[in-house]
Amino acid sequence: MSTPRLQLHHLSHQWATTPASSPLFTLDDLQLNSGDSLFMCGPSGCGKSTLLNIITGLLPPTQGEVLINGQSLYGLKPGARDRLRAQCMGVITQSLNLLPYLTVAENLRLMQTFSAQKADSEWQRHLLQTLNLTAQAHQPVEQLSIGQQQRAAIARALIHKPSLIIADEPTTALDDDNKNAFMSLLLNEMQNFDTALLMVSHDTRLQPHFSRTLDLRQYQSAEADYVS
Amino acid sequence: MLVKIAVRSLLQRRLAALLIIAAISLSLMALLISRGAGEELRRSFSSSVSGTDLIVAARAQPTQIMLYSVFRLGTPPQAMSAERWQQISQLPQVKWSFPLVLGDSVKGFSVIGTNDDYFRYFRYGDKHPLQSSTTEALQFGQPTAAVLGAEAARVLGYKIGDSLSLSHGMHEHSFAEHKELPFIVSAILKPTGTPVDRSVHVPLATLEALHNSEWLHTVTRGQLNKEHQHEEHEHEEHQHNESHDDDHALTLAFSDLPEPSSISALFVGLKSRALTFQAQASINAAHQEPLSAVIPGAALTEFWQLLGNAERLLQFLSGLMLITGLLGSVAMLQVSVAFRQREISLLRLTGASPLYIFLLLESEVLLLTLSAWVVALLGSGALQTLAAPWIASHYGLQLSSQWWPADSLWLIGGSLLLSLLAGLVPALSAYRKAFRL
Repeated sequence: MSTPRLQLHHLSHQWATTPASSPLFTLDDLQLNSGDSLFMCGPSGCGKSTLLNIITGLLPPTQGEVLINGQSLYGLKPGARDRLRAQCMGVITQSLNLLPYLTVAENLRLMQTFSAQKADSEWQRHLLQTLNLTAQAHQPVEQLSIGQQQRAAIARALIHKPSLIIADEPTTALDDDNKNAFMSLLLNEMQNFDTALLMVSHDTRLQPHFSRTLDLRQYQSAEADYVS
Repeated sequence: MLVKIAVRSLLQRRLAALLIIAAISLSLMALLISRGAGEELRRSFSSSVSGTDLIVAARAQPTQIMLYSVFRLGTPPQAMSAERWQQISQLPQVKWSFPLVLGDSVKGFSVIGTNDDYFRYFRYGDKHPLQSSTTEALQFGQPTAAVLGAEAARVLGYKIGDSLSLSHGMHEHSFAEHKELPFIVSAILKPTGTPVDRSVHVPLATLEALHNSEWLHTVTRGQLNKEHQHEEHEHEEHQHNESHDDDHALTLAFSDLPEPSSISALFVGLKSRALTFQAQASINAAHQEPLSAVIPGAALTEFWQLLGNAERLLQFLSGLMLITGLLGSVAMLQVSVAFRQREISLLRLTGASPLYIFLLLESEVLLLTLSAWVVALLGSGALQTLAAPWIASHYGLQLSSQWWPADSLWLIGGSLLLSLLAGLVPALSAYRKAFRL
């Protein structure tokens, strides 16, 4: 088996304002391999967004380690961390996943620029075709519907073939039909290359799409536990 | 890619961006025009007299003598005697000279009493002589002849053959009019872009006679009274019959006029420029009568130093305006940073470093200032080109239009640097936001 895409070791985080005795969460050991899809849920304020910021390299944790492809994320200098995120991660958020004043194609190009990749027009054509966005490729993002925008977000998250896809409530803005279409597209596309998916949502109806589930509520106390 | 994003991002906020560009470009235009006009003013001032080596007048500050003798501003505080005029004009170093008598006006336009040598020797700009706008010769053929500057003739609506009467003093609505002796327009000068355009030239001897009440009494009791009564009648008639005027005018000959007793200033041309300081020293030192001999070039320089303060104040104010404009652009971007939290997060998530976010904001400030410069250069060039004829006709200043003003590269560089500094405010707050997601 190849190196795990994501590993968390003894990870805990607490805000400076909270008493030292109560960390927001503590994750002793979490591992995502290529092909894994993890559904992470939990009520608001349980630290989902904080955890995602830590995993994406934007927020150094109070304690513990994050490994991306075996590489310690916080062992890197901030600039190298930004480059690693650009190269190895594809991030999809609730909304505004693309610069509204650029076209879809330009947004994809921007992502490739940051990840220091050459434009792969074959892969881009395939992605846009699969996501049914070929006609919208050269439209400014702000002219797209919400559903089209979130599909374009998948394209942007996959264009540089990342080893880890991180999705933060990507379906909140979508209606049920679009929601299911979005999920199957995302899961189908990630099977095409060596990647793992970590998705945060409080919509438990999406849970069956995933191979594993992590309820962050269970890790809010100081005790560590395993992923079910 | 960075610039592309910056351009698109500004286009996204195009109304605010346009307003900011308008504000900055207006202040830049004010800066350009005040600089340009200052330089043009200086050039125009220095071209208002040339070829004259010395201007001699009763003792006073050189700038004051320049003001009334060249720029027709103010009145001479004292006169110089006719004897000294004759003496100086016969000095061995002197090649030519002509006298000026000032103090009267025609509806606000100053009257210059002089002689034919004025038209022969006066030079302006690049040693240009005065020229008649018509075929009429530039000379006082008769004692009541008046030669009008282009601007004076245009504004007052006088044509050749029209009659005009002088007022005492410089007020436009002066009651003390010299109605006893009306003048006839004998020639109109071509525009020169100098104060000559706003002057009415009459024979020195006639002007002197008008102020000599004794002489006036004896003469006006005679035929001049008759002429005065016929003034209106004559005005209509002379268009049909010019020789009719001559009948009246011929009744007064130069020989009838009294000898001038004093003049306001004497313009002197020397046989050689090298003699200037020698002649100046001898005129200044002569003890019969306190006189000042002024070198026009030197006096203009001194004069300009006085005006330079006003110019600097104007530039200081335009500089303040520029800063105001830049602060406006900073304020807009600062507000936009608050609204762009998600955009910044997105750029960070796709892998942009905080430095990239910082540079993006700075590029936007730079783009705003650059666009403002394009607008300002075009605007000030167009404005100066369009306004040049108007300014020339109303203020006698000849402005050459400048699309690319001298030293503007320095100005552009400075303002871009200033905008980068101002851009630090939004750029740094975006930079900080880029860390806190």
